[in-house]
Amino acid sequence: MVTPTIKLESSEGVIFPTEVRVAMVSETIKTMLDHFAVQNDENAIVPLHSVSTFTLGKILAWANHHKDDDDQSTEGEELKPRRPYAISPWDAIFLMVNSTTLLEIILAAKQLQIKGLLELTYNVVANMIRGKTPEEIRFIFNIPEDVSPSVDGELRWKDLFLWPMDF
Amino acid sequence: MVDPVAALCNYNVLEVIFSYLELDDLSHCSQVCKSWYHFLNDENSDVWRWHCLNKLPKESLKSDLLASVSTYKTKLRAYFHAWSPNDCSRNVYIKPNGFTLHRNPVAQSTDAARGKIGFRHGRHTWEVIWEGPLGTVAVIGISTKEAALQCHGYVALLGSDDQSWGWNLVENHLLHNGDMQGSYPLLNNAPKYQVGERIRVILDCEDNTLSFEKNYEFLGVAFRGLPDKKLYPTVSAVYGNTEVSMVYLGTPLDG
Repeated sequence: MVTPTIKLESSEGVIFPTEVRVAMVSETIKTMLDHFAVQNDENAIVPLHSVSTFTLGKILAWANHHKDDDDQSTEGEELKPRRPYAISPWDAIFLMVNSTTLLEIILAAKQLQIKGLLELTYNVVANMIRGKTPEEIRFIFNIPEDVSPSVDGELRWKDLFLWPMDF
Repeated sequence: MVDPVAALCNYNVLEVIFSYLELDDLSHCSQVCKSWYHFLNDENSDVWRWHCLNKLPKESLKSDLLASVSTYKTKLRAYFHAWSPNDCSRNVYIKPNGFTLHRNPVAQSTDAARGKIGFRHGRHTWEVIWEGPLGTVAVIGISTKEAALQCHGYVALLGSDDQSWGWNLVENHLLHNGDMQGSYPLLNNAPKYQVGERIRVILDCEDNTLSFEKNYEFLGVAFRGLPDKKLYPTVSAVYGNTEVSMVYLGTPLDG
């Protein structure tokens, strides 16, 4: 019995033969397979127009590593605790990438609806922000400075966030 | 290719990431760029809702105590400004709702409490609600960190020294440095405070004045020439089992 596979195509046209089980970590792909029975067609190609080759490779590496994880779907649980959790060593090394790549992974994981990877990357970004000054945050994420300091602006910020800074 | 910075301007992404951060970090995030500022400026966004529901005691959210602060963020801010359990008389405890103090029935003692955060700049207003009987002395006002919070007897503790300023609701007198500074409000036969009424205290650190409003009516400037020191919301009480709530409202509305 050959392991069922599906071909995923990156935005640059590179084909990634992928186990169906691995690809199914993506809710988007899972929905496509469920609705269109694509898995029966050995030559079917799923084009992912907005996911680059490098990003798709990273995501599939993560999905392959986590393919045996328990499905921790908690749909509808809106207020589940959003605490920083311990990031596994494998995941930590996997996400030692520059911030541009990290953000690309977030965008792709969001489009492909990969819940576990999204939660992981959100936590990593939160950890990158925690304890940093605004200038450091801009530098880390290459965010252009579009805020022009002004007296009114500064006073407004002070009013907006006076209380935690004084606490 | 998609601009990766767009991820950090996507509100759905920001909402989750910001929910992982504490308030100090959110303060920094609001200064990173305009889109983050606007996102965090939405005081009813899910970020503030999450932090509000997570940090505020359930009792305070269910009551109408916070009726004057309508958004999640301002409710959260009020909580951070509430009475300090570490800066009050030993005969006072802060109730589980976080906003109300309870004075224990201790004989021959006057007991006070300060808010957690004092002010040295800007303009601030907070609401005080006396929810139990006033007793013979009930003073609302401000004090520095040096003002005493407990003393013997039933006296007007707040306003008894040069570090505190207060309005005795029982007599409608202003008090500072142990002296009666005049009647307040400046009306003939001004009505006395009724239990449960909301009094707003207005502290202007730019003009160095303290004023009060009652039932949305401005009663006039009570004190001028306040010192350039950090000043804290304060009350002093004498009646056993009386309760006083304080809700910080932020910058007073002009006009």
